[in-house]
Amino acid sequence: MRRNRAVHLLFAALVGVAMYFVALPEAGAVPSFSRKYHTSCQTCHTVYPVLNAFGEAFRRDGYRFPSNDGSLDSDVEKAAAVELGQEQYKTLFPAAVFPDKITEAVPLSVWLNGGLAVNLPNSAAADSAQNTFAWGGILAEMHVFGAGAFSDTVTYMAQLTLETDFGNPAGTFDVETGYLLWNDIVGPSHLINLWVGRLFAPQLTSYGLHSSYLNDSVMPGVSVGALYNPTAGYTLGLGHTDGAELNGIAGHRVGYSLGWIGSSAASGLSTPNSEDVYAHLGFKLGGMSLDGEGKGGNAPEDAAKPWNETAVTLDVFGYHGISRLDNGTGNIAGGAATPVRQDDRMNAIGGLIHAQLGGLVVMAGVNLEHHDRPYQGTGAIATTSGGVGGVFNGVPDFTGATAVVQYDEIDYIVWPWFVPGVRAEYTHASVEGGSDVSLLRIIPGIAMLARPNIKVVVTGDLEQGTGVPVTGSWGAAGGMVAPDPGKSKFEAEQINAVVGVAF
Amino acid sequence: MKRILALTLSVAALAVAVLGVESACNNVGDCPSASSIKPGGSCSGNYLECPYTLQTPSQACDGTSVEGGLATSCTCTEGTWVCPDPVSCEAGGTGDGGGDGEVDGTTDGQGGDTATEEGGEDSSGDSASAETGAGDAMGDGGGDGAVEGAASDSAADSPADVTAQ
Repeated sequence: MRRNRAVHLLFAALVGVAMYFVALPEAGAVPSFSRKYHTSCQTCHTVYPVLNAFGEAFRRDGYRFPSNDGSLDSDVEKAAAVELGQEQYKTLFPAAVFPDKITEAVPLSVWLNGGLAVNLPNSAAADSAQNTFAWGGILAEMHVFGAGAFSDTVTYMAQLTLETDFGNPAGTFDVETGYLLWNDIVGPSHLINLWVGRLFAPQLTSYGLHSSYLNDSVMPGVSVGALYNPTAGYTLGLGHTDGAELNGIAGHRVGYSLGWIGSSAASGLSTPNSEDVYAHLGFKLGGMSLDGEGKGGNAPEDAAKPWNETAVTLDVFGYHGISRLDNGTGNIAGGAATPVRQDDRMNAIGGLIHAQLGGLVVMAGVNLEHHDRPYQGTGAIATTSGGVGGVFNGVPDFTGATAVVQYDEIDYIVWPWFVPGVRAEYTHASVEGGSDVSLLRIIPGIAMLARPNIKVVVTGDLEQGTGVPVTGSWGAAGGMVAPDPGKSKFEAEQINAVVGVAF
Repeated sequence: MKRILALTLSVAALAVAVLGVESACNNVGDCPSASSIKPGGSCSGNYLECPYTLQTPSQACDGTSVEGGLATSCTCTEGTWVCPDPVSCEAGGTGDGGGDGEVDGTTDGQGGDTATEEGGEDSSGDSASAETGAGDAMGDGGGDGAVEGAASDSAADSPADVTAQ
């Protein structure tokens, strides 16, 4: 009986979500790049923010339209611009300031995001939320983007994010992204570019951060460090990180990136020297080239279905970084906590295969991550005796740890606004003095557009956990299932709807 | 001219980046064995915290007199090992002996090792004795000695406000 009621509730919730978006009027405005080029979102996206082959080329080219027969980005720009200096100043440089331009209208756009969850009966998700469904969260955050070009080689991207009371972290705002892209510094087009500032994400593959139809990012949001230490926060390949990246494309088909970005620190601890560095190499075979230029140019294989192509892209990367963690030796059980720093060096390698056959998209990737000292030590000891009460730090633990994160996704672009698929994420982590633990998440779902700028993604979350990490939960791997220590448990956790409106 | 300048700037930027990365490596350091750490001795790796076994010089009134020593840690600070101090009765006990000693510390009962120390022989003439371990310790010695221990931030000092009646 209870199960029937839950199913009815679930159905009602899904219908409600669908009706809400179908009933919305068409938005009258489109984001920054659409305004700049006077073109639809569909030029670059299928179900945004996932990019099609042309959109990926546009992104890799530093937010510039791929060239056709030597055309420049400004040749296809439609928005009115204000020149900052005469063109002739270029010939006078360095005796004059090198000129550029800004758009007449401030190039802003807005993206509203939210998520709703149905916590399935008898699941850890329901136990945690203590409800089955709540509307809270349908508006979680608002992004304000500013993006455009100062010239044919210098472009920019900025992103301000405001979190509502249902955002994470709630009620905050953050300049998540803000960087300058100095493209084509020297040599052939796209060969050497320097991007500096708060980068969108370190480029460890040839694909953008949000290249998954069913997940926020193609690389899973698994913070391996946080499986061992609750004060760790760094997640490989994700995040908006401060730093600089040298990248480029050689021969239209080979892409690379070399980055140096900031290292992370737990709350209450000083920031370490920026030691995180990475290198990535990618190669695309078939389909549109990485930069959308060269043989075949940026014309789609099938003009009637411009989102389709037949191509395989291979990527490999290496990453070295450091996280400053609190090793817990200053924490008194049930009492005061004094952060004690412990620098955890991390080395990772990984790769991604991205293949597309017509409308069928297949992704398979793996990351191998080793941390040299992620564990917390024993807590502090408070003593009292005849004379003095004192607190003695506990003993740090310098055991290393290794984890493997594997992910796969298969999607089929039935129409450019309707993409069903299934995704799997597998995390396997070593445990000091015990058996390894693992989590498998199966995420079936459908990504849909109600309008070019209004989307709904509905996904399920099925989880199989074997044991739990030393921190006591799978939260750092995006999981909720809570098996008993050393045991396995399979559970259907949630049905999620992610909603977005961009204008 | 523009290309030469761009090339020069890019090479310079790359050189700065390589130098920057090399010089930005954090000195994490490795820990020596616990027995080789000498409080006040030299070390490398700033803020490196390493296991250390604290031995008590004064079993009579020092809470660290657990068997084999107290497992704690030292921190490398500006090239020197900073370690927790063992506490001697000389530093603390000003009681007049003979009465009950009451200790109000910040204990939370962790560890579970309850060391009973009979005071007297090592304690600068005071005969306060105490039971340590989970919670407040009631002395069973001669005089009344009330001791309030302050929770200190580990590494070195163990401040105490010792009063005697």
